[in-house]
Amino acid sequence: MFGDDELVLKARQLRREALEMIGTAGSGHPGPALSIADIVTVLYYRILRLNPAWPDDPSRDRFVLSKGHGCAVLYAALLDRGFVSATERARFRRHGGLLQGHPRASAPGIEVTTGPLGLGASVAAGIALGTRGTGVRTVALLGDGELQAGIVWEAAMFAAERRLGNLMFVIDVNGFQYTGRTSDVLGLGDLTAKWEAFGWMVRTVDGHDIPGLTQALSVGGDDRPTVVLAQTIKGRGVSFMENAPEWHGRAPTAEELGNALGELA
Amino acid sequence: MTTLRDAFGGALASAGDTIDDLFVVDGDNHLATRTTGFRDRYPDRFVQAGVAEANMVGLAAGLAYSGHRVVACTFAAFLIGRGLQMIRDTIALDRLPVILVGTHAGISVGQDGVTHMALDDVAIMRGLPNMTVVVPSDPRQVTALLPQLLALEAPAYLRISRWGLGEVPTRQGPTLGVPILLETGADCVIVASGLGVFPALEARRTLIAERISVGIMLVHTIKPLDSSAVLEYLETCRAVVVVEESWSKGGLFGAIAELLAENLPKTCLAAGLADTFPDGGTEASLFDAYGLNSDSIAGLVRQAIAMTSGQSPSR
Repeated sequence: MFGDDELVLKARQLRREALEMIGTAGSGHPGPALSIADIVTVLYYRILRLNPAWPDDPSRDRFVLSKGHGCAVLYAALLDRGFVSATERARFRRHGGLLQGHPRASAPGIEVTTGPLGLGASVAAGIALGTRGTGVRTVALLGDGELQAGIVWEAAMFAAERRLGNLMFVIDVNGFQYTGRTSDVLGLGDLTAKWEAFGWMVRTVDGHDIPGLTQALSVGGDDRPTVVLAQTIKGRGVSFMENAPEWHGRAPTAEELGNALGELA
Repeated sequence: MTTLRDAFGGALASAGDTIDDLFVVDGDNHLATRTTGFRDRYPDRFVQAGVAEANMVGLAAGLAYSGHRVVACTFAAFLIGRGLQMIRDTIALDRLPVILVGTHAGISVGQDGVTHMALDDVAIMRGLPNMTVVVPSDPRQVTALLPQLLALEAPAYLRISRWGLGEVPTRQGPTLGVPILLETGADCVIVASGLGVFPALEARRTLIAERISVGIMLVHTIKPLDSSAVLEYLETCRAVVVVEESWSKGGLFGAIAELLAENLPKTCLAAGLADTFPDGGTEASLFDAYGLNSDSIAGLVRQAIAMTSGQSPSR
């Protein structure tokens, strides 16, 4: 299987490909995709039991990108692993393409249609409930701004009370959201305390550390659902995109793309 | 007398006998919606989401995405009101095999008042692609239509009133999608859904005595509407009146008016609720106050016919 160094390279590759796709499409969300590249790499190349040749295998693990706008990097992984034909790469965000602006369940390898924040969390809890006892893991990746949505906490309360130990939420704690820092938009407070109060097992990790992520994303220890608070940098990997909220939803120009790819070479 | 929701509860428990991967999701309302029977018989397949209707729908979607069949049921006002985002972007969008059952729909919620009355639910659900929308009038229709909806293995909305006004006099049980012409009439056809059919039948008796020829068409499947059957039944009458236990805009009235405008333009008036928030009260007093009684409907029929008298005869 892949060693840590290989996964570091893989994450760089997925970052490049995500930015290229956004550049070709002329729109998309670079910052949100870059912050989760390492998380997606560890999940898709080390942790999750998946089979590109059989996307509907009932024993597969289920990944839900609840922060659906970060999809460019997920799509890069799906293309790379062969879930989706290479011809779809150029049809990202285009009419008739399978890889739409936000994930659609009609694309192979996408479990749930997401986009409206919080939706994926609720549905992931339902999937965990529906696959209880089968050995299937369900992992949902949420943004930190997304935690402002009440439905996330409805799902959290339910998952803990119902002892969905087969459910994991990973939070991309990059400190930013569309219109600025989360602390300025609507402060999230003490996330560890909140999740513990809701009955979840809480792990914190550097969201860009491959060995750390490997440990944090492994199966939870008991019948509590697990939340991994992954400390990340929005726009990670491209110096001018890091911690820059203006890169939330803006595609790079050809020149900017060139510069970004140069840093990720 | 069996109520619509008692019939629903019984039919649902029976469905649990034959569909072994059927899950039912509740939002702290099973005592009112009568899904208790299913819960008691199949506790492992009954999901209690608590007072959290948006998450209720998300859980239902998740169960469906993971391969199960689902019925999600609570008060229509909250199921649709709080759940719509989730309904639209998972169940309808991905054609999940989920039946949404909204009980206590319409003004016959009664004394609990307007916040608990779903009045726009039919209009909203009718607007969603891939969604079948059914409004039964009596317990027999509920019992017959629920299994037919389950057999679709596709998104559906079943809308059930809290009140009941007896049994509709039909010769046989309803078939999903098929409108029922209860009576023919040359002057006016009243198109009715749900409990609206009962005051409509009463109004017809009054009008017949005045030598006005009035037909009654019962439409339980609002979507998909059987356009050719409806147009056939409305072909020769002079005017149409639509009766439903909803705000008129966008509900059954919307569906019929749209169809007529595109194919068979003729006078079509609405006997559902006007564009106002109703007060609460006893069921009967509300049906009286908001036009769902025989006198109001009969008046609307006379008005509709009068509006056509200056026009050339219908084809």
